[in-house]
Parts: sequence; structure tokens; C-alpha cells
Amino acid sequence: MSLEDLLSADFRSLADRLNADGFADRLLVKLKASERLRLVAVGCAGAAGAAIAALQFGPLTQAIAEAAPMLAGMTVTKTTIAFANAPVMVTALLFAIVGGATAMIAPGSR
Amino acid sequence: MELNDVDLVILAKAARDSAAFEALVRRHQAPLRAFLIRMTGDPPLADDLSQEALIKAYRGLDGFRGGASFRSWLFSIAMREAAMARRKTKGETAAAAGNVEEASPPREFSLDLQRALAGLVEEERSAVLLCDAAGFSHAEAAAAMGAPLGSVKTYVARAREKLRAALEIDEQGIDAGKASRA
Repeated sequence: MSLEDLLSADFRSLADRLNADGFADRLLVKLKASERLRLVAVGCAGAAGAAIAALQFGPLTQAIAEAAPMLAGMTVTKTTIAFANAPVMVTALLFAIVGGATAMIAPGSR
Repeated sequence: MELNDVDLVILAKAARDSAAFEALVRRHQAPLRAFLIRMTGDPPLADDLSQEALIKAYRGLDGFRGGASFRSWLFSIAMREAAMARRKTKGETAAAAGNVEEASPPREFSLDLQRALAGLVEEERSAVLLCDAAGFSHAEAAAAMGAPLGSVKTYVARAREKLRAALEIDEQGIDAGKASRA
């Protein structure tokens, strides 16, 4: 038996015994638990951020309405679209953009 | 059909919670632990290092670009972990033969082997274990060790020489006395 065969046989026999001792199962349980924890943390942070952001919806809509009064003043005709609620729509769009950008850089997102 | 490592990595990257990484863990954990047990001579430490390496591989899967094999990449993480652990304990655990019985079959030859391995320089031990025990190619071992290919070949040659001397094995193979015990 050559040295290489000896090392290889010793290694194989050790690896065979290690294969059956449940290490992989324990590790995978731990990995899944930490992944769940990470998702909960990200979810909580996202929910808190969304709640805080929602508080700003009214003031932001008001600010947009004041900054561009012509949006709120537009009327519905055959050739124009109803912009009566435009400040609300613009605010909602802004929130959607911010939410999307956050999701793109959130940990674990691809 | 069994998927290869690259396919499994692609699947694991696409969906973190997929069974793909689980398959990679099941495929590589035993060789990784066996390697670290033979490297450190300390099975509990080897298991800790393996666990840490596999968790880091899972979290850093995006960092695997496929330039080397997955197992080279995984073993390189494990070797970095081992080096960090060694720095922390200032060499106390390095290749200690004290815990060998726990990891090895109760055969005198395995104890001799572990002692002979413990007598090697760390790079030599890594190289010979990767190439001759774990079945890595020299290129894979070089990638795992972060060393030039030529150096790895030298480490392997030197390690073989030292092991043969320590185990009283000649170029043809194991001597009669050892063979009867192995």
C-alpha cells in the first residue's frame, strides 16, 4: 500500500463515519433558524419604516398640492385626464419609488 | 440526475432557501471535517471550524464566482477560519495529537499517521491532505490554499518524503510490519 493509498483510505474511512453523525442536519436546522430570524428582522424593520413613512403621506400630499396648485385645479374634459387627486397620486408614486429602491438594496434581495 | 456543484451553487444563489445549498452541505461536510480533523488533530475544534466555514459560505455565496471549484472555495474559507482560530489560541491546538483517539479508528496506524502529520509544516500538511487524502488536483489545492501551483507541488513532495520517513514506508509502499497493523 503506497503512502497516497494509505492517506486516501484513512481519509475515506474518517469521512464515511462523519457522514453519518447528523452534523449536516444540525447545521441545516441552525442555518434555517438564522435565515428565519433574518427575515423576521428585515420584515420588522420594513414594517416600522413603512409605518413611519405613512405618517408623512398627508403632509407630503399637502406640500405637493401647495407647490403645484394647478394639478388640483385641473378638470375632467374629453381631452384631459382627471387630475383632481393628482397630489395624492404623486405622493403615492414617490412612496412606491422609495419602497422599490429600499427593496432593491435590502439585505438578501437579488 | 445528480447536479454538479456549479449547478447547485447557481440554484442556491437564485433562491436562498432552496434545497440546493442543503445538497452542497451534505456533499462536502464530511470531507471538510475530515480534512480539518487531520489538520488540527482536534475533532471538536474541527467541527466548530467546519460549521463556521459552511455558514460563511452560505452567507457569502454571492462571492463565489466559479473561478475555482466550489470545494476549493469552501476549503479556503475553512483554512482561513483555522488560521484565525490558531492565532487566537496561539498554536495551542495546532496539530495536537492528544485528541486523536476520539477522531480516529482505534488502530495504531491511524495514530501513527496523525502523529506523522502533526510533524509536518502547516503548508505541507494542508497540501498533502488536500492532494493525497481528499483527492484535490494540485490546481484545486493551490486555489484552496491561496498558494502558487509550484509551491503546492513542492509542499506535497516534501510532505510525502517526511511522512514516508516517519511511517517507515519506502517508495514502493508500506513496510510489512505496518501493513499488518493497518
